[in-house]
Amino acid sequence: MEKKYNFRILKILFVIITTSLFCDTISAQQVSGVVSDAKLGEPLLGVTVIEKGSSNGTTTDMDGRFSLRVRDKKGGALIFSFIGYKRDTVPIANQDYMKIELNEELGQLKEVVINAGYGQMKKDMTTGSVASISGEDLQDLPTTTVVEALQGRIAGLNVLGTSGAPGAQGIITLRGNTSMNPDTRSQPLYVIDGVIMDPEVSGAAQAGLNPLALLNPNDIKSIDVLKDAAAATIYGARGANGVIIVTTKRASSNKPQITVRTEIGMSTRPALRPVMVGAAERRFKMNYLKNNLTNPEQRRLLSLMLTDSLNTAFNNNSDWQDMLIQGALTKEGNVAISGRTETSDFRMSLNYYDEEGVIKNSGFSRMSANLMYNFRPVEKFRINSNVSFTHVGRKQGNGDYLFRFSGWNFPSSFWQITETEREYHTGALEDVRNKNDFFLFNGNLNLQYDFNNHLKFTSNIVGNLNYSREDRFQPGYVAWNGIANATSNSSDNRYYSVENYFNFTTKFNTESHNFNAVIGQSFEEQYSANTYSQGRDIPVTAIKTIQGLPDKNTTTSTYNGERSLASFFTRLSYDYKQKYLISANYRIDGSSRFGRDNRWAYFPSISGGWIITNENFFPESKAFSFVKLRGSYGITGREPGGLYQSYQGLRSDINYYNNIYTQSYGGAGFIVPNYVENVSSPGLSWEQTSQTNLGIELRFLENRISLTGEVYERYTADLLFSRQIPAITGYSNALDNTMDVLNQGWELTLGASIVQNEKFRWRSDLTIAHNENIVAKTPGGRDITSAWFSVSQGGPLYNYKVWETDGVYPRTSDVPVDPLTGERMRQGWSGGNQYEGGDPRRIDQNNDYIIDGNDLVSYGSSDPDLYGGWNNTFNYKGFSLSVQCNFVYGRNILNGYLSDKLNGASNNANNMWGSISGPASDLGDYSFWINPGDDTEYPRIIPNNIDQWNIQSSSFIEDGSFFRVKFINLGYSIPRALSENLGLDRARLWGSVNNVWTYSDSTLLDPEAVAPNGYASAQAYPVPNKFSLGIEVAF
Amino acid sequence: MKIRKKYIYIVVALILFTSCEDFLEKEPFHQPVQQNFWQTSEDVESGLNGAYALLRVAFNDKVAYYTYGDVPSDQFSYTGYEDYDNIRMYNLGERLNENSSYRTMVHMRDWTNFYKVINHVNTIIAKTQEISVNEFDSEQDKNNKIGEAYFLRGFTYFYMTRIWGDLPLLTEYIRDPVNQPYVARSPKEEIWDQINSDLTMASDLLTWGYNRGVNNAIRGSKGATLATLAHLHAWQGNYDQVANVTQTLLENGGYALIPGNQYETMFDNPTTENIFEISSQLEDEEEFQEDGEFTIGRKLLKFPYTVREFQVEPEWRFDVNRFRTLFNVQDGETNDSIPDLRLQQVFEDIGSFMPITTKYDNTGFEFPDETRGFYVDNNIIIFRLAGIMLLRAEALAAMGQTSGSIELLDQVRARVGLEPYNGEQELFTAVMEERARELWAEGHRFYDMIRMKREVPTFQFSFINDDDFQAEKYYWPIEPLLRTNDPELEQTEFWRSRI
Repeated sequence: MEKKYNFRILKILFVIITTSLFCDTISAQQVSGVVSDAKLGEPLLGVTVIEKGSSNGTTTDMDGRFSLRVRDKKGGALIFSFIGYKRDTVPIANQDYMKIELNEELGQLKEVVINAGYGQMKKDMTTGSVASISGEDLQDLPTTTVVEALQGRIAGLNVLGTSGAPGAQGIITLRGNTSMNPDTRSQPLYVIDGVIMDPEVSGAAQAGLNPLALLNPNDIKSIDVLKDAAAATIYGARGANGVIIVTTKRASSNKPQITVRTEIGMSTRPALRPVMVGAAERRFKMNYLKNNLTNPEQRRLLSLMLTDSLNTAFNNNSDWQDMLIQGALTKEGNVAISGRTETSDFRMSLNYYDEEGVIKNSGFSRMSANLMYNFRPVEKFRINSNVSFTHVGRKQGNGDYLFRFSGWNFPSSFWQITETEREYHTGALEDVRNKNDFFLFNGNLNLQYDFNNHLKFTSNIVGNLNYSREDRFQPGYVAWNGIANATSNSSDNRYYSVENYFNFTTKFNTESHNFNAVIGQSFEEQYSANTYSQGRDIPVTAIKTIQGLPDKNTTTSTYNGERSLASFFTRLSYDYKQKYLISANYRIDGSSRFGRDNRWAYFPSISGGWIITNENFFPESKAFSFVKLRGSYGITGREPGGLYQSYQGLRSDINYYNNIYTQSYGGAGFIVPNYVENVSSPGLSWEQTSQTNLGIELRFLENRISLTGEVYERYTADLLFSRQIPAITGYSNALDNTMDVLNQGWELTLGASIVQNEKFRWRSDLTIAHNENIVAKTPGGRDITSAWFSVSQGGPLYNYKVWETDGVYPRTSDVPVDPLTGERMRQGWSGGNQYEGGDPRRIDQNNDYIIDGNDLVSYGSSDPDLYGGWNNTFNYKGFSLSVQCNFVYGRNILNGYLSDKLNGASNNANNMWGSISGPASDLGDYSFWINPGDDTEYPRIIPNNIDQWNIQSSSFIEDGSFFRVKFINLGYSIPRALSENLGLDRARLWGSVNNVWTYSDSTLLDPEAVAPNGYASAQAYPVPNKFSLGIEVAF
Repeated sequence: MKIRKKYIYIVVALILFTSCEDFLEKEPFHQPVQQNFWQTSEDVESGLNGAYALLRVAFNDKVAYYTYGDVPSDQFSYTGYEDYDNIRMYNLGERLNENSSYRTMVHMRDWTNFYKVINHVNTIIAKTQEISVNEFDSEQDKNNKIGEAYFLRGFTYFYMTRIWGDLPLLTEYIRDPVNQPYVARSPKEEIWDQINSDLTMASDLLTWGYNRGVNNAIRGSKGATLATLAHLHAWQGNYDQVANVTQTLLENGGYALIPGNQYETMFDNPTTENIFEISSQLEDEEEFQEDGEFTIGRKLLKFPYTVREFQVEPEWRFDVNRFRTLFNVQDGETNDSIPDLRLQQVFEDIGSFMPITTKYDNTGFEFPDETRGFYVDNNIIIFRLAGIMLLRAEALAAMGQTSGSIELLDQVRARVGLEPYNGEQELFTAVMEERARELWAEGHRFYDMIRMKREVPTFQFSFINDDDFQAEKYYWPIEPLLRTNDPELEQTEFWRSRI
């Protein structure tokens, strides 16, 4: 099958190559040169170069170079134009090589050139939906990774931090979720300088890091987000959830330049959850128990910790939270050296970032070195190379939960905190060891050969090696089971890819017909290896590794996996007089993960655009500077899950009870089918997303105001999902292409230069997006439910499924009685307990007087209806002030903190309330049923009939919408005159704040710091406020 | 021009190079896969061991073997917390929500563990037949292995049909479980025919002596096959067939009763008496649970007969009246004064209000210092000679062949030091009572009671009345979730309106 395609592609290649060879004749009338920014010295890509008085022209390449056949080399002139720059006309005057510097036009939008994947394109000429952000906008912000700075900057890109932990992954989802795992959200594909990083299989992802977290934010030149199918199909196989393309900086000026940058920051102690301590806690609990414990036996068995208020071991008023948190420091240093000659340029950067967490002994550090060297040995041949090394170290306390206390077992303040405990809980215990490292080595060699003005060949070779390792040791006196143990977990990933492609550009009939084609192929292979070892019962605390243990106390397992992908792709674009644009993509991918008959997938897309302002009939007007309509349709894919989807595995062990594995029968080894995991089959195949996108791009008042609007519909079919299959197969669950999810919505991006003059400028940008997430198909049309979450056809992915609860029954007589049986409402089944006073008033949706699964209702999801951001930048002389805000609206979150707490509060209260804080937290704010007749918000804490009323109740679901002033940054650039006196090219100072102010109705400490599924756990890492000061000088 | 052509050739070569499917063919290293595993005699051997290991999971899960066979019988008056006491009283209809998957009731109503065995064995039968005989030691080696697989399928279906009656019948290797069509339950008569044919096939393929080494009662054999077949015929009420099959087994099996004063040893290690049992030995780390909650040791033992000092009473308590009547024990009696060697060997505190059996008392801790990892190091005995002799006696008594029946009954009684049958009790009942004594807490009593009731209609169950017995209440309901995932499945008839 694939052979057929190869021949077709070869045929096309042959035609293109042969035709272009004929065109390749060097003329005496040739002029070439380079165009750069007058102020920064940066080469400009995409500048239009036209011979005066003709329509003969070209555009500059990524080195700012151009080359053009001119009619009149002696007397003619070239016109250089580029949006955002002053137009320049330069006489040729018989020069062979021209150096042009263009000056910025203040206050104007600059022409944006995007990286469309396998080639650059002017944004105005694209027919797909692409959003871009410049690296400058992401700098100088007190964030651990660049992800946080993207919040609210790109319409349709939903970025939410799920935790305040430094370097935490968070949510970054484009145009709605398609992840079938309730605990995660789908992520776009990342392409960093041409290196594809699949968020699911890259080594970074396996180490729990976002690929962007490895980047030095100061190296980023621009980020382009490919949103629709037309844009993303070029990455077909993996473009289903969008593509984020990062381009890093190159040498900017001709003279060697050294930039030094340093920043120091501080994170404040985050807010604590209110708790009662000491005598107040005891009084509260005793009072509550006195009123509620009717059983004298229970009263007799009150925990000693409650009754013996004189015992020094537990008459304390320890504040456990306070012990764990701290104000923390962040340090960053950055050095970049760059330079450029006629034939080569280089940039080298070193970055060191170290952030302490606000929970003690947590933190994130990154050290990266990056060397980019580009060389042009002959005019037509270019070698671009890039080598980077990154180390990320994470401190993770003792290696389990950073915030050590879950809701239900949060310890009581009565406990005395011993020094050992303090050291243990704060992760400062010397005997405990937890070391966590991630190394990444990345090499990229890019070869380009220009056959002529029309045809260019590129070969891109990427090698990537990463290694992560985690070593832990816990002495017996802190381990949960009292047994000293050490674990070591290391994994490495080797990856390479080779891409070869041709770029072909031509014009017919002078300027009227512009044609561009990309055609190529790529293949990649990845090898992953993992080793996990564990040692138990380590006899000496001084030994912190797995050493000298008897065989029965050690476990080792290794894993090796491989995958490969082969692809062929092409893109054809055509425009007529820059008015009518049309573009088509086609990509074929074959993946090793699927069986022979299902491994190839085909991803086409087609798109068109109409630039109305370029029409002759369009009146020259000041009001409309640019109007473009565009539309696209296409299919993108995703290769999901495991590496060996087509095989049914066998195992040599059986999980026989609570993860106890047995490996032999009567002393002999055995083989059994892998009944433990999802069974898969050779019939599994790709997930495919078809997407329709309509967009309009408008610019008014000489480009001072821009507005982009998009409407999209994204239908993701055949999502791989584990579904239950008939148990007679022996398997319980199977992976199958069974789910369909529809995402539809709109996006608006509004930008305006509100004030622009020499002294003062004010620019404001607003993004807003709406997405509706609908499950279109579930296996057999059935609902999939777990304790809180469910998936049902017609609803969003993982909405809350709860009993609608309306307070409590004040008295038993308030409980509805079934007229047929004369019995009160029952829980669970026809023989279940009857409701009483003090029980939650769960609404009996189907009026059968039994509260069961049929009465559960959907209660929204954690994915927002509306999200976006609002950013303002002010410039006055050398000062700049930027204020970034972001918001989400129409999002429900689950107050798991309260739910968990009440779980601990209710079980066995007479005994448990001694050692755990139970209700002595912030529950003073909530009202609980105590005496018959009490009409309260929550039932009685000590349950009687209705077990676990703290689960699956609408009382715990709340509005998680918020508006946040995320960043304020104030900067000052020292005037040029002064900096030159100091011998500096430029110098800049700034100060900024992260997490300034939040408006929300939520009762949680931070409505953003909740798990992707919306569960706000008590163990969530609090989100601090961060301040930073920085300075950058260049010389 | 030359240079350019070279470039083109390189590109073309690269494209062609990548085109091959081989590049995309990746087989897993970390696990064998169904598609290419079955190649040699050793592969089949490890597959067969796997089938026993799966069967062991099915029997050990929530102590299922004893929960099905003993808990709902007249042996116990209380079987502890959670669902065991409901099972004892045959209250099997409680509807449980989706968060109850940990519940014993849910596990017991779910037959998935047994279908794991069935499908694995179906695979072995299909794949072994494809392997060339050259890969085996001999043709007989291949036949024995296939025979063992047929035995396993017949035995597993037999064990299941006594619990649920009608069953989905699967006899083929399922190539694509993901797209497996739904299967309805076949009438139990069809299941019995299938069992009969599987066991007959196994019996033909297996040779006497195969797996008859001292420790090999833990694997299927011709003896184990015939024992299962005899039980199937008894369950069907074909007592003449029982007589035929047991005759062959007793004459050719080579099994022998061990002396009464060594009675206890057969629960520790297979002896000449043991026909089929499931290995559960500590050295295989087969019985290791953190607190041994679901081990037979927690259910039946008390300190000092177990290493768990804080276990002062067994979770499952004998029905003391029934126990005393059956064994003719008086209040306060100790076991040295009793003629029945079984009481001396495998029972303790017999005259107390809390007698126990010590058949499964090889207990220990994996980590003795921390008293963690409680285990029981006793095999699960399924068929042994004394049981088969009494099954034959049962058949002969039912057929009116009194003398043959009494002869066998007396052999079993004599071995443990009891007087010969004196005719006081009706013979069939006397045989069944002897089975109750001989096989106390060995997973047989509930099924024996059902056969008893069929022959002796006056016999009474405590929790199944005569009408319900007619309606076959003794067949278990299936867990409703099974039906959700397989809409073709009908609920067991008696329970249709009751769950």
